[in-house]
Amino acid sequence: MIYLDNAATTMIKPPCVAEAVTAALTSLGNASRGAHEGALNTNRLLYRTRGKLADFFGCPKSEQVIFTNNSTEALNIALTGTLRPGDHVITTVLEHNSVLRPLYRLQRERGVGLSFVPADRRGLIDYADFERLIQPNTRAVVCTHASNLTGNLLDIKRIGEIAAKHGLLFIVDASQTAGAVPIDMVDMNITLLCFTGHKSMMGPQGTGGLLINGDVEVEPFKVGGTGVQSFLTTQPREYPTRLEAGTLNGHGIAGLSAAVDFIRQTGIDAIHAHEIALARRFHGVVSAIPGVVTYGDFATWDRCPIVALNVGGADSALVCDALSCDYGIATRAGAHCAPLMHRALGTEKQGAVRFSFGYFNTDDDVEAAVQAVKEIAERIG
Amino acid sequence: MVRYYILFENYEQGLALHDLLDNAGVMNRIAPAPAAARGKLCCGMSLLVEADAIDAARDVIARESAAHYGIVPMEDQLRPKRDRYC
Repeated sequence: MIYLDNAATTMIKPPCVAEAVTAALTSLGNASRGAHEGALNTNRLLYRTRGKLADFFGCPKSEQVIFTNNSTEALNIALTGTLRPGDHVITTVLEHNSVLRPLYRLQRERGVGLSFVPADRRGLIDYADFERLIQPNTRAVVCTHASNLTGNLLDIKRIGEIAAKHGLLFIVDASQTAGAVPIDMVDMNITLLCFTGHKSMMGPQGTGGLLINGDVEVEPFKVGGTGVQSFLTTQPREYPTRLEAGTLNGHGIAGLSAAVDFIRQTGIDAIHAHEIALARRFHGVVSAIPGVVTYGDFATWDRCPIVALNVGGADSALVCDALSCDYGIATRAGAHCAPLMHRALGTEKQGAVRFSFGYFNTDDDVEAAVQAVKEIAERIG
Repeated sequence: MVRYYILFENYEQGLALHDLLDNAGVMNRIAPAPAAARGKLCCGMSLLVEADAIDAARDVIARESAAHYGIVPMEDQLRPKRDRYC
């Protein structure tokens, strides 16, 4: 299989990640449950990994690095933990359902008001819209760092400056960019950063995190066992314990820790340059094939290594199926959990076929994908 | 050439019927749910069944009361890749 669905998850992980998980499976006790060597092994792992992640994302306090199962869980904690009845939120049509559905639920259950920054047919936004949409009760700006459909990056630093200027919380979904694009929470004025470990971070599935910059009160999304303060009837208030009820995914976090080391050693710029070179080469050829339409802003390659396309009027699912069955190429068709982005691009009915490149893809993978798209375009005529 | 897509509300339903059809010897394979067929469901998997097997598939569904959302006939939009193994 030629795997070109890295925006969904990086299927191939660095060998050090697999080795770390394997070692963890026979060496980790339950963190904060006891003081024996097994438990302490895990506590030490968590402590070190929090420090690595804080450094990696520019979060000032490592104890405000909260481990979660993925971005979706981090976003649910961030949104339900900070938004109050009557608050207003500014977000964008680029968002994934991991942002949209929690916001829609808060709209229904807490009367949170929502305003959406629109996008044009290339998926581009007007940054002035963020200020235009501010209301007296606006509490937060919530947005993705990059569209999971087009790969377009948002200028997070610019949006962060607007949020800071108006005293708003700035909550960022870094699902597509963590590990692929440098992020500095302080420099970018990010209040809450939500990331997943299994995409560009190249860690195991079931890992992720929420990072909190500054003295922000985030109320717990779930409560329960923490291994400490057991006679307290409420969840402890200290971070990270406040937001980490239940046993953590220590085995997965061991892999995530190794993945951060791998990215550090390889260089985030080198990783990004390799992935973008593949995407750029692919786009350069397929965009010239008659009948192929690509979606997104390719005027700049300061973006994620994603190329979404359609071939003629063919159903994206059938093209994706042909790529898989006839060519052994894994891509993703459909709506990509990004309904508003598809609506903005005019692809609501057809969907799109998303090719997303990863660090372990090669020039040969690109060649095979190009050839397959050419042949499918001929078959559709 | 018309083919049939069996649609589901989630992957669990789809994989359960996939097992039932396999066990009954009814040819089927997992395919992305076509955008045109899936309607409000949007995304997800389907089971692709050729025309000559759809009646047998319907029998299995009825016999097992298998959960599914619907069965949609659809014309193939790609010409077969006839020379793949030549």
